[in-house]
Amino acid sequence: MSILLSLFLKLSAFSLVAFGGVNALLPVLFNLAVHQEHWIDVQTFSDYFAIAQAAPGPNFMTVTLIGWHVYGVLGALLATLAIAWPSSIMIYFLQRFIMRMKNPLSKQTIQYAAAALAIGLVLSSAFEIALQINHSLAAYILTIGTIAITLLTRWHPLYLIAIGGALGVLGFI
Amino acid sequence: MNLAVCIGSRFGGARGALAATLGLSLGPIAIVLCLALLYEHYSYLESVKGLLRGISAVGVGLIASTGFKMMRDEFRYPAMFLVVALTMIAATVFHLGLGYVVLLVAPIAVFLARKKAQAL
Repeated sequence: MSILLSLFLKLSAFSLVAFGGVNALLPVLFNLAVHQEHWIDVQTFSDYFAIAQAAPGPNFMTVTLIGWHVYGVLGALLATLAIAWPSSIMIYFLQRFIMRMKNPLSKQTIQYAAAALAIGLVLSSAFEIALQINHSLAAYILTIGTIAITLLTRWHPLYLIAIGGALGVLGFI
Repeated sequence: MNLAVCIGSRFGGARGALAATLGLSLGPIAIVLCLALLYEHYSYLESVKGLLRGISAVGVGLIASTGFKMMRDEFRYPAMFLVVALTMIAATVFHLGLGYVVLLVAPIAVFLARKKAQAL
C-alpha cells in the first residue's frame, strides 16, 4: 500500500512542475524513477520510453508503464491519474487566466516567454535522455537523422519509428 | 493532453475537460498495457532488445525535433534565442533543478518577450 501511495504522491508532485508536457522533463522523471525511488533500472526506463513512443496516445505513457512495473494494472491507472490531475487543473486555470487578460500585449508576452523556455527545456531534455539511452555511435546517428528528416520532410513519425525499429532488429543500433 | 483540457473546457467547462481527457487516454492506456505484457514475455530476445533500442533512438530524436520546430517562431525575433540558450546551459551544463532554471531565466524571458511582442 505504501508504495502505491508514494507512487501517487511523487508523480503528482512531478506533474505539478511538468505542466509544460512530460517530454520537457523526462530527465526529472528519469532521476525520480531510477535514482531516487528505484522503481525501475536504466535499461527498463529506456525500454518503456521506446514502447511509449511507439504506442498511440498522449506522451505520458512512459509514466503509465512505470506504474505498471511497480504495481500492475492498478499501479498503471494510479500513475496515469497522478501524472494527469495536477497539470490538468493548472492548465485549466492558466487558460482561463490568459483568456481573461484584457491587454493583448501582456498575453503575447506570456506566450512568447513560455514558448522560449519550453524550447530550451525540450532540447535539454532530449539531450540528457539521449545520453542515457543511446549506447552506440549508430544510435546517435539515428537520433540526428530523425531530427533532420522531421525538419526537412513531412514524413509521419510512425515511418521513422518503423525504420528505427527495423534497424534495431537487424542489429545495427 | 493539455490540449484536451483546453478544448474540452471551452465546450463543456470542467466536465468537458474531464470527458475529453478520459476519452483521450483510456484506449491508449489499454493498448500500452498490452504492449507491456508482450514486453514482459519477450524482452529477453535479442531482436526485441534491438527493436527497442532503435525505437528509443528515434523517439528521442522526435522529442528534439518538436523543440526545433517550435524554434522557427524565434527567427522572427532572434534575441529570444538567448532565452533558449540560457535555459539549455542552466539545465544541461550546470544541472540546475527545474525551479532554479525557471527562476533564473524567467525575468530575461519576460523582458525579451515583451520587446518581441512590441516589435511584431
